[in-house]
Amino acid sequence: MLAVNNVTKKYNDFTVLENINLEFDNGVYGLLAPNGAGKTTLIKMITTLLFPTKGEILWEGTDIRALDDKYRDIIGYLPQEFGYYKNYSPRQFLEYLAALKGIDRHDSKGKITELMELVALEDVVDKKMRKFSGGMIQRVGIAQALLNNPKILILDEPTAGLDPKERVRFRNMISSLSKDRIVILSTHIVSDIETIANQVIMFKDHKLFCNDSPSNICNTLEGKIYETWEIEKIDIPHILLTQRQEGNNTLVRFATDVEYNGEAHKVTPNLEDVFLYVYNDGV
Amino acid sequence: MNIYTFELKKLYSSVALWVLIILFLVFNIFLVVSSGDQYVDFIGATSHETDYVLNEDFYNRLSQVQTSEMEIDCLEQLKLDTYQAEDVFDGYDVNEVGERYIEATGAPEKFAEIIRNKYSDLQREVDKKAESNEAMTLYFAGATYYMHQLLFKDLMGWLIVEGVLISALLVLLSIGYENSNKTENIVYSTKTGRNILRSKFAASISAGLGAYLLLAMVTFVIYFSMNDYSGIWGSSVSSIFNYRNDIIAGVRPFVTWHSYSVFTYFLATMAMSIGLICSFTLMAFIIGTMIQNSYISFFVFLIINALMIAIPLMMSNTTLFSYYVKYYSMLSPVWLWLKHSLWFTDGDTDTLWKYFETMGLCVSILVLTASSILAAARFKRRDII
Repeated sequence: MLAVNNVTKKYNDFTVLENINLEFDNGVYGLLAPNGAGKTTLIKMITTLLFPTKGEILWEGTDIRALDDKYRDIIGYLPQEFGYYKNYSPRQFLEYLAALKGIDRHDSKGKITELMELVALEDVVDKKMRKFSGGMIQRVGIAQALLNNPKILILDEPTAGLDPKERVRFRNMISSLSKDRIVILSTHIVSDIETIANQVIMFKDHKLFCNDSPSNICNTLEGKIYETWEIEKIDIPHILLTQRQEGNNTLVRFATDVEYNGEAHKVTPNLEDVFLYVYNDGV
Repeated sequence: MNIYTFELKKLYSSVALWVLIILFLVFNIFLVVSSGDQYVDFIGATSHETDYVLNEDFYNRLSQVQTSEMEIDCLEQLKLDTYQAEDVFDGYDVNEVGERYIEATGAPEKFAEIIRNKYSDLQREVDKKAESNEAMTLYFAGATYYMHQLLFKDLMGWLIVEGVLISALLVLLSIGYENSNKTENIVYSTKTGRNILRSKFAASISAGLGAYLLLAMVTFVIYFSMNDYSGIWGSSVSSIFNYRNDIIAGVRPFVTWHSYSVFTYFLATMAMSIGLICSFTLMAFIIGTMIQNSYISFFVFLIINALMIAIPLMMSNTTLFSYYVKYYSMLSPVWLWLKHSLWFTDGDTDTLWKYFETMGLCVSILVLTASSILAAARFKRRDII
């Protein structure tokens, strides 16, 4: 089990995360928050790139700093900004990373072939990456994160640059991978985790806002989400969530904590409603 | 491939490295080619017949040397140079040099005493050289000073600069590689993590020394094919024809602490150069781990060395502290480079201790190695933002 205990991260006087407590067992954990909320900071602390100002992160009861390379040996990480060597082919780049991950050269050869097939890049495995599209690069990034068959797979904004088809493929892949490992998936795109996350973690005002299953989180807005055609009536104290065109009219989805005096019907809340409701500043 | 090989491959794939090597080679070849001298060629060829020791046999053989019309002047010149040659170390008082330096720099008594002791020790070496007739060797006769300066001051000096620049650039390129490719996050979160610095340092120092040895090899192959040393390798660098000249002590014999032939002095200078390049590489490594950006790091590296040259020069000899700064600065890598043509000698006005180059190199390597270990430890605790 991976445990984040009372973790605070500050840069001088600026607090990015404050007193965070989390526990991770096998399954998919979705970190859902707007950009700048501290998702990447938490992930970088879990990957030992940043160190907590206060608190500790434990793997099986031992501080990950003390475990050092033994801990890093069990993590796979796809950073938000995935850098790569432009003059390398995916094979060369993965061979290098496999060496850094302490994987035997003989074992890495087979693993690289297998992973290139998994991310559908087997045809370009020896082509230089400088000509790759954003989606192809992201798939190389996913492959490198899986090289060491990690017990903790950490993916920061993994679907950035992927087209809709690739996103679906990616979600299916994550679901199948999560059975025997911890998958921590950070995103601000609700649909990425809505269907695959066992737990959704949200931050607000630099603190942990919630850590629960998607259905329990959605239930917190039960009876507060409506849809109406009366767009002109949706104003404070009601919170406009989404709009969609249907014929010549606009169907408006909104949240309200007070009674609505108009023609609207209640709908079942989804994760996107919660996201927009919780982070409604400026929406 | 292991990590070291991968890191080495990254460096050898750098276009900048090969461009620099080619530019430096062109420059070195220009230095070598523009140094041709008929008299030197004549001595190189004649020394096979006469040998290099200036004794009775030498003069007998020299009188029997047959030469072409074109080289008759060279032969006459050689006879003139070696005629009634006398050992410069017979009755030579080197203590006087020390006294002149003390007087010129106004060295406080504390330091003056160390200087006097140094020259007193050197006097014993001079006496030994006088007794063994070490100086009575040909070297390049009347062209010795020019040839000695060309090889041990100009060529060796430039090769050190080239080796230092390439090694420093390579170590900074290696350390900054992940930063410039935005791969820090994935590389430093792997099992190897930030311990990769060890492989990066090992790869860059071996690539840097490899580049230095390549430059030196090509340069010297051309140099020695143009200037025949095969007959005079055994000559002493303290030959009667070699000398040094400074504004305070004037022209004086080239005295080394040990007996060096041209060949052993060449090897010792090469070894010292390699050590010096290693110390500059360590310095660049420390800067690189702190700054990460290769270009800014290289700029800082140049500024620090420029300051190390400037500070002792700008300090006036008014306080004991200024003397401390001046004398101890001479042990720094950049001052060791500036005084490379005086290695294994007594040095000059600012060099307090005997074996200043060995002492300076050892101190530099020790201090910089300790600092490198601390810098690497700090790097491991640093946030990668």
